[in-house]
Amino acid sequence: MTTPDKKVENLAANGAGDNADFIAILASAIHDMKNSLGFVLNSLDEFIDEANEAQSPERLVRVQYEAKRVNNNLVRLLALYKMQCLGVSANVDEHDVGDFLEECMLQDKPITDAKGIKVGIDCFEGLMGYFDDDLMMGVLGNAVTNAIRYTQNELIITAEEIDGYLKISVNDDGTGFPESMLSSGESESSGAGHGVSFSSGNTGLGLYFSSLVAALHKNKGRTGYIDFSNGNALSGGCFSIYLP
Amino acid sequence: MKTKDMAIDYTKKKFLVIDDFMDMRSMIKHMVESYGATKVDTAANGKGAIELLANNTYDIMLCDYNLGDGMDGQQVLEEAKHKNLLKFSTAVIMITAENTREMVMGAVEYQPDDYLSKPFNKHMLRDRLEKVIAKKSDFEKIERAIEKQKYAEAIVLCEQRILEKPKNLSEFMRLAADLHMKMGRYDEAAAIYSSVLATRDISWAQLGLGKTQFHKNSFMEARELFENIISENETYMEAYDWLAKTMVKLGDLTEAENVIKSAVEKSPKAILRQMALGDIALKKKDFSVAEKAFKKAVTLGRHSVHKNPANYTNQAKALAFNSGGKEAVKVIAKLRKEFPDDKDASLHAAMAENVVYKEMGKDDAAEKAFSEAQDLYNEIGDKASSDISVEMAQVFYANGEKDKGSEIIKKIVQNQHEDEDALRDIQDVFNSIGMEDEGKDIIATSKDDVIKLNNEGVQLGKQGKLDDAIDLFEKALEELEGNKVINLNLTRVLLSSMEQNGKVDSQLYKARQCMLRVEKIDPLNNSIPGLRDRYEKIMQKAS
Repeated sequence: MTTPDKKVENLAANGAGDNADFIAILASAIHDMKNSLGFVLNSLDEFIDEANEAQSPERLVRVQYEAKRVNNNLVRLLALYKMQCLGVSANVDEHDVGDFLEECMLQDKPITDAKGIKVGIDCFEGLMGYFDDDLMMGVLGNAVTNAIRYTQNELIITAEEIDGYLKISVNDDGTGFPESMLSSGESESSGAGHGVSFSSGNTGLGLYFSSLVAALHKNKGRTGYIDFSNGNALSGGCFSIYLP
Repeated sequence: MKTKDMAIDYTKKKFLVIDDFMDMRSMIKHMVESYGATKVDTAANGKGAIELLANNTYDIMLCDYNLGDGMDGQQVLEEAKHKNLLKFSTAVIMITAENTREMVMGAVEYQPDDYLSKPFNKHMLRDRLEKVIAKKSDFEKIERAIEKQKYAEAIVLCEQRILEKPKNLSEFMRLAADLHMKMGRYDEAAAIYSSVLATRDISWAQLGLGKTQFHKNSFMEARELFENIISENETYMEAYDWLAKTMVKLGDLTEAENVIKSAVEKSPKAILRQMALGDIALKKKDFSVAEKAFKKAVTLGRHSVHKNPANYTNQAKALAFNSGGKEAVKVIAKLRKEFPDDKDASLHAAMAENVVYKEMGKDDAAEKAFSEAQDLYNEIGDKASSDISVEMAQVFYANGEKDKGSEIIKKIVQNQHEDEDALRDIQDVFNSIGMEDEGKDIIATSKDDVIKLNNEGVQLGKQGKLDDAIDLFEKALEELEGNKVINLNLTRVLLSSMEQNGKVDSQLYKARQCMLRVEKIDPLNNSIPGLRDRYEKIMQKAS
């Protein structure tokens, strides 16, 4: 693990002045928190596994979910910091979409298992996609964690190729996204500061991050984007990301 | 889940977990134990890991990239590979903080089988393990051929798999292209990269295509491709390395330095990249940049297989030229201390001391270092690498012993008279010490001598005077043991002679020695496979 001090030294060299120092310290603090939280999360997974054999550990599952949310936020903050301050861009490579989605679902498997949420992947075998797997893991992790909060008992991730875009969607069977969030032809905008407000408890960070990641994916003059809709593969909300 | 969910019996797998944090170690250990693993060793640092690796055989190594103050994960991997401590089938997964992957990649000699970004849970780790193990067995035959340097065979195996259109088709295409490149078949490699690029701009294929252009001396085209990659993907570090090399070839040292500088800012821990920056800066006489880069290389090299005396002496020289003579002397003293009883290192030290003391105006000390360097150089004799010899020649020139310097240069040129890159480097040395014309002269006449001699031998061979040709090449080899062309031609006439007159043990032995020397200088030499075939046939016919 990187110790915070070292990180600061490296980062400070890149910036100039007090503001840069502050940002560097912020980044290294986030990094440090994330490491601690990683440990908390994995310990919780173990507790819940053990508790599962005896009784339903509902309160533990709730703690686990909230810890996961904090963790997601930290991961995204760090990724954003890197994009903005260090100029990290998308590292696009070819990936097997089915394999990748399976791996994504495993991120949240401890929670979906504990909450008894059924998780499905709908993607034809052999579908290949071109994207930065680390960044996309963050985007889908965010969408899934969000969907877990609103769903009744099922989640489906679908992937297909539409008009030269790879479309990946996270569907839930909850009450769906509020009217104000549904896109009306402006889906290619950057998303941030667009008057879009997530329902309570959301800082907009996930949305901002997802739009940025989508926009970092470019091919032959076309750019990625995100989109919200209701009642597709399941009755509830549907978050989609389109990658060229 | 799908077919890849083949049962892996974890109870039989031996694990090594390396992480500097005890909590992390025990967490990962718990995870793999939950899959059924029973044999799990842990190490808190690189030194501990290397000790365990030396005494045990592991199936799976999980290593954190950041290991605190000692070696980092990449250095553990490099040392383990250099010391041959890993089984061929050992799966190595490098655990990295999210998105540091790019910073680690490029300019490294060995890649782990896969990277896993933190945070991960036990399901994700298991999924990754299964994929890596499946992939290793998928590539096993090909990798074994590569390990034995049977590249042509490996390419055939790749092509067979490509025809089957497997899921990971592009991995086989990439490997086949890289192998063509290794064998110097640039057109074949370029064809594969271009076919990938026809559908999509993929960085690795762009980089590959750029490398083929570079090797074909199409530097302008190579430059454009490398710049393209960087503009689309600022963290693709390997593109910076190649762009810098290309700019050096194009004679634009300023731009080369800028490129490698911005790469170093992004990945300050890559030792090979620091060395590249130092070399360019030295050439540019940008001494404070060179000093910093080599200092960094010395520090990074502390726990690395890339620990190298030249980094110390280059740092010292940069210091001395920047009026930091005292500091320079200290750096050289450190070099001597850290490489005790190492003749090469002592020679490096003595040569650098000569330069540094001269710069400081301490002529007596410089003179003493000069005579130590001469003694050591004579002791090392023919085993001296060409880098060390070039440096020694420079020292002779700087101390007014032109003839001795030229004698060394002559021998180096004659030993690699067909290697244009090496000759250009030697010319650069002459240019930097203000002996441009003399350099051109020495290089040209030394080169001509060998070419004349070689042509004479080839002519004799063609006329069927094989014994005379053998005599001539053998005599030439006494002076030019390291010359690839002479070694190859002696092999040819020896084999021709035996094909006509039957096997002669002493000639077989000589031919074998020649081929081994060529393989040592140039492992991928295109002529060797054909000569080996002829050699084998002669062996078989006689027995």
